[in-house]
Amino acid sequence: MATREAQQFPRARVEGLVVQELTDEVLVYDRKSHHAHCLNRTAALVWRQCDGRTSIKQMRLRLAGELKAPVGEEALSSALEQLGKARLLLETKADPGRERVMSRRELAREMGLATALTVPLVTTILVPAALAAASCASLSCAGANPCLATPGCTCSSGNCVPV
Amino acid sequence: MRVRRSESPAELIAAVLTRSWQRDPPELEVNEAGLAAVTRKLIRSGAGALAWWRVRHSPLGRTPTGSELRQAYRFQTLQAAVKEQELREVYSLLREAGVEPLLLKGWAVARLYPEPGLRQYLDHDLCVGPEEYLIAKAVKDGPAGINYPIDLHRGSGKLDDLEPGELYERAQTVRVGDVVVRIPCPEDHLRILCLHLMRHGACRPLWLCDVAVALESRSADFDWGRCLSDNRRRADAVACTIGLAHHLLGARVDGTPVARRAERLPSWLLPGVLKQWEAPYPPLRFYAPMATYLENPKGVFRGLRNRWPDPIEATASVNGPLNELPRLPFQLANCALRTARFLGTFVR
Repeated sequence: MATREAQQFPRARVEGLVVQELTDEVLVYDRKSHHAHCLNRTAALVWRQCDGRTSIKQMRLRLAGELKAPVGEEALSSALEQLGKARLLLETKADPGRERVMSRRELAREMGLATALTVPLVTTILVPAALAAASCASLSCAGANPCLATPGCTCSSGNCVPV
Repeated sequence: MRVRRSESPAELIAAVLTRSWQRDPPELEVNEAGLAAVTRKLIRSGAGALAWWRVRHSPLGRTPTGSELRQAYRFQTLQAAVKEQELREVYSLLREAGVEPLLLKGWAVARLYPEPGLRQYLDHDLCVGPEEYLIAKAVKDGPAGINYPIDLHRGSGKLDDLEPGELYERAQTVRVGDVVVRIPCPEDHLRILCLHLMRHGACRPLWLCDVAVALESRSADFDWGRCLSDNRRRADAVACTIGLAHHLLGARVDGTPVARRAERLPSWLLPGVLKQWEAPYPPLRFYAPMATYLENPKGVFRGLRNRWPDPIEATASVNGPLNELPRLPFQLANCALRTARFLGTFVR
């Protein structure tokens, strides 16, 4: 019952998240899972609406007003699904009737070119490739041993190895 | 977009980072191939976000290389937020133990950039008075502090000549969210940034951007006497570092007492920095401690070769003059000093 209600009145997770708002996207770092995500403008708007009191129907209307473009049910469902998969919502459970998330291309095709710009997108921010080749690439490098990769940095994460 | 003639990677790095610390940097006159050639090094040395800042409004921003830099910008932006939260927690821990640290570099200089994520830092350089050092170290090494990347300095350590008491007296307080932290006054911080850069051979381009942003963000009542200090050689090192920021990154020196010196640097200094920027980052000598070669002598000569000091670091390490004399004696002196320290670890 609680899960069904959560799906109808989705609620954004707050605890353990570090959020940075940029001009046209929102960056989120999950301190528990150590994953980082980038929400495009539409996804960020959806996430902000997830206050546990706003129904999905109300969200659609508000979003259409913000984006000045119609927001289809599929688009909103896709956004909520992506946010749920990224663990940015509380008490979410995959809709058993929904087999997979539509791809952005599929969504855009369904919604039409005019509304393609409003397609919500939650992407994982990967460590830049140039950093991935080095150690000390985690967002929260922490520790006490001298880090061989970065002069002056102290890290005892156990991940610091010579490159 | 004008395409410049072919340049070395170091010159390309300098071109990309020129005035990158400004809110609206000038248009970049580098083509995508040139930018791509130095992107990896820029990102690895923590300057990826600054490079994105430079190209974000240009056609370069929409290229695959631009996308890579934008990713670095996103990563660094989030990292800065995480680090700021971390800093607040570190301060709370130390204050609970009765320690009042002074924050150097890191966040203290990142705050001068248009966005804090533009200046990457991984640890927190904290100075504490000699009488507080052991307490601070206990907190740092204890269960609560062990997971924080704290670089603890007794007084100003190797970073400056000033007595810790003087640094504290002249310090300013700023807010990190709801936590007040103490940082050096702008004059002391600029000097510390310059000396730190020289001591590490100017190997990291980002540090020169720090000097530039600290220089250009100074207020009208900036006290140059306080910044340059009474030590003639230190003052000259500061002036020459500012000169490097001027020549390589376009930092403005007009109207400063160091302008003349900044225009007339020792002939080996600029080439020395460019050579450092051509080399891999991080520097090769950080790849394995020398002690590892005791058990595995193979590679010891490569290890020694990697540790041959560059002329900038060598000069700074022995507080040598920045003149036209050959640098070899200073490099030999640096080697002797480090060998003595290395052997000293076995005696202890």
